[in-house]
Amino acid sequence: MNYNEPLLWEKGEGLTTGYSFPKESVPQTESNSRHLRDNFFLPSFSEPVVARHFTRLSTWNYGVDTDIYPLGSCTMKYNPKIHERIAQLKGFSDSHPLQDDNYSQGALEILYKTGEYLKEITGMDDVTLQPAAGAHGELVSMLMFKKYFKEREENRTTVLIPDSAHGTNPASATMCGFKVKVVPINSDGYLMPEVVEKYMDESVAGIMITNPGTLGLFEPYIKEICDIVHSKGGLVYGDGANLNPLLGQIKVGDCGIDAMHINLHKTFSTPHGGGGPGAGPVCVKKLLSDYLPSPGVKFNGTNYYMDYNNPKSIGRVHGFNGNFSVVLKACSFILSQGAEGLKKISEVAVLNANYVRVKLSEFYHIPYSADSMHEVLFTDKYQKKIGISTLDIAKGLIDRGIHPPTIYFPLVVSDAFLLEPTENESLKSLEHLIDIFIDIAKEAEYNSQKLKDAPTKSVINRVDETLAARHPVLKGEILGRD
Amino acid sequence: MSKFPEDLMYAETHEWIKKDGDLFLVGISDYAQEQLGDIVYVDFPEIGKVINIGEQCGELESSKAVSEINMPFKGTIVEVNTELEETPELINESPYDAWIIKIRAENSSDYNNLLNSREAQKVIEGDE
Amino acid sequence: MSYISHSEDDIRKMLQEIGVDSISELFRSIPETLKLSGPLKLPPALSEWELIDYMERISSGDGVNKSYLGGGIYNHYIPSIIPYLTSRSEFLTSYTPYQPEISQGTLQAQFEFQTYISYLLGMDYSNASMYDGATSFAEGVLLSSRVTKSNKVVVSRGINPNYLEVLKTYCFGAELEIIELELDSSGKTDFSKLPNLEDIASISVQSPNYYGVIEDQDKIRPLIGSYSTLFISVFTEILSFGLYKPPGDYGADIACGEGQSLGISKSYGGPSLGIFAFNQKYLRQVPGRLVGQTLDKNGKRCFSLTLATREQHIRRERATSNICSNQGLCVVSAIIYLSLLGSEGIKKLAKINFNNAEYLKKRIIEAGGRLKYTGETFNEFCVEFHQPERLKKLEELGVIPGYKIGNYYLIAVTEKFSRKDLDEYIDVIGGS
Repeated sequence: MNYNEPLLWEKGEGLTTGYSFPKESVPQTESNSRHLRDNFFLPSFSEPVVARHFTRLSTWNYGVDTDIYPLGSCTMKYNPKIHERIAQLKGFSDSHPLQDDNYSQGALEILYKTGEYLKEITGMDDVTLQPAAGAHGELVSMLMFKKYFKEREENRTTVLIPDSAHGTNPASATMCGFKVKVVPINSDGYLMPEVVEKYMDESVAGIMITNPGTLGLFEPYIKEICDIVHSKGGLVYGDGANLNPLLGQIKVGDCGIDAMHINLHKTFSTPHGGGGPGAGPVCVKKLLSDYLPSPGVKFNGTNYYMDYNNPKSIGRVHGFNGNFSVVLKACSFILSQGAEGLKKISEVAVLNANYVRVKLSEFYHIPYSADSMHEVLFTDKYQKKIGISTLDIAKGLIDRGIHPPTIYFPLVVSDAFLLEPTENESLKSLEHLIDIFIDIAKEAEYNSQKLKDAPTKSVINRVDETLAARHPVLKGEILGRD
Repeated sequence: MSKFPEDLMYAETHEWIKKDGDLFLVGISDYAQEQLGDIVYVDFPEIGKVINIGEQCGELESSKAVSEINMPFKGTIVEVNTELEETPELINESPYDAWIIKIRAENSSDYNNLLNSREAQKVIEGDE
Repeated sequence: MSYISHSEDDIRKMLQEIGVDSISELFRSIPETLKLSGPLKLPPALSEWELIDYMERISSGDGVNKSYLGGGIYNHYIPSIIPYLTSRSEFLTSYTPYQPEISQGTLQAQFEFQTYISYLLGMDYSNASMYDGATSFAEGVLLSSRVTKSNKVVVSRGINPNYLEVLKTYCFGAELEIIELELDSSGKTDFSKLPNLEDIASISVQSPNYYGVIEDQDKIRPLIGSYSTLFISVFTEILSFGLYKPPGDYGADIACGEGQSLGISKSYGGPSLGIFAFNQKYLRQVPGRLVGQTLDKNGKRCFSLTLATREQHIRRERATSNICSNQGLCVVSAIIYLSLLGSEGIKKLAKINFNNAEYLKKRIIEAGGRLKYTGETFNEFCVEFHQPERLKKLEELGVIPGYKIGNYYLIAVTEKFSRKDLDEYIDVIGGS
């Protein structure tokens, strides 16, 4: 439905309330503090007005429940509804992080067991559940690397990062004072051991590797690369953004990874919430256990408890216990899937991606010939010749009721789009997606202007993002009413 | 094909340089602005700062990318084009009028070591 | 319980189209030596009802109804409409609004949030949220170091100790030196030992502070004078700004802290809502997402993410932060909460919190309790009990009396307590 829903302060109401205040039962205390606030104004609304405002806004959004959401590298899988019910159980949602461990046995059990499951899934020795997002997990890992070398009195100042990496990798390394050295991938899209060997020396703390990489390919030389880095005393960080196709297939620990974050909101199906909250637990090998954030969760055979006795820890990275209810949903997912279910997920995720790849290979340029894992990389090379860009293709998808894939990523391939169907799309749904992509490829040839004008069927048409950046308007003006 | 006016000199990193009395004006080539797309913000260097050849002396942001402006030769920043603060789009609209920084060269003869229009065309567009 | 829709027949058909004999052939790029030979050792899969049964069972002992715990996470009432609206799948299951044409719901809600928060804190702008209060604070301090190119920062000991621990962790990475200021006997930061500000990136103070005390933040700007040092105002109880002056009124450069009080459940401490508001001057240095107003092709007003060139996916190692998400859904909760209350509601609710806390404080003192600090407080205060052993009795009644810090208890009193509850507290600990 295409209607206007004004901003809250433009609604022309705003003096009622939708909040049900408790009876004031205690005597008033008057304060004459000089710190008391002067008047200010923010409009308020009755509950029905609020309900309608936000319901209307929600209808302008596209979610996983709307249709296929093939954002590459984001693993937009279905979010089981039972998870929401579990997160709202009073025992969990009303739990205060400062209450004694004996009041938090349920929450602690969830944290402890999720940690154990993640260790088994990754083949690692230890875990922290504090990081609130993938990038936060990267930061934790880089801090641990830094602490590890500091303890060993080794002055290692550089971190190696392939040119195909997520931007968060270099940004996280920099936040820990490391210099970033960019390692090129080869023309097949692989990180090559001989190249890593050239860059690797005693000044290098380690390497950050995403596997499968951002091109959707498995790094076949991962073990060799880890061995090279280790042989020169360095550490290997694994970016777990693309863990989905590896579930039950391999354990990343066996490849030689020393630390890896896991995006629970991707692989373990917790909802993305319009940008968060997520969770980015980090699994490590024994040599990094001592450096994990504090406190950790332990079990003494009878009780679960928070363990603060971690003298070598990098310290705390979250105000409290991380995004607990996200961990809770991921735990629920692992429990409802079991080993067999998780393996099936990786199989079908890879099957779906390769099916789309095969069906679209004739219509869209595929820059790398190696087998895809759970996502496929395309470019606009064929369409560019006729003046149609990746952006136009994306906007054409919107007009056909489909969320576009990740566009212009990774940066190492020009005008790329990365498509990840996930395991949840049925064959029927994939056929629908494929038909739409083919339709766009044809429209690019016969009616390209229509694509350049797209989208026209969404609640707003193509957005001027340049205007937004040139003249930033980051808040509205609320007129006072005193 | 982009234009490279003949009365200007160029750096390999896509800047143009124009003599302005004792001083020099620096902007970016038509080719560079086209590659960068709609420019939304110019980050200027500090006035009075001495910067070495090849070092960063400013930054251009488009809505999707960031690009450095590099010093074509060693010199001092004398002035910046404040008109671009409000209207960075001038660089897209008219790249050879929209100078970004004004510099005093440490050694004015460095100007002669830059690329001329013909060389620039070959070097810069050959990048593609 | 599986969420996969493929039949065996579908899989056969797809394999045929791809041109392989089996699914395992699709994994041929993985070296054989790395492949697992057996299944993962995980508990057997549960059905939906087995799962909820297990979760209900283990959670039944958690979550105490009457809890006077605060210390950064507060026990406020959450209107039913909030979880109802945020469970709409369009909010819940969407991702970062990279495609603004089909994300206006998230974008407009976040723009409304940025606006309400700016006004509530009296600041120029707010970003679209950070992970939590502690990390938001740490990012604020990192910003101050970037802007001033100085690696020394001053912080008050009145800041939540967990926040200070997180800051220490971030500063270990960024190689910043932290200088701490002690509290005086009123519980306010003692600025008499403030170092020369020549090379100090920022001064950070929390108000109400960890012990509940309202800081004299009006002293800070004059102390900074013409130095380039930033003033960072930290908060964990945002509802206090319904009664007390917000950071902007004291000339804060950055206001950062926790927004959990705005309709977000305690959930054992997360997810909560990191808030980051700032003076316009620092716009290009701010971490995290920003939503801006713009126009579509037909000139219709709309919203999109903006100033992304600050961020890691473009600027990589030179980004303002590595953060690449926000707490989108918590932002929606907060703006719904704020739109129900508005300024008048926030003022009223703040006053109720204040009255309740003052009442309990007075009664505890009458019962022989002693305040740790004399400074004025909002809805949280710190006391030593005359007969602390009696608190056990409260716990037996299912009441958590507060958070124990040494011999003292930090007690947070919100609108969720009635006079009856507060009187019961006093009766049990042995009031007059």
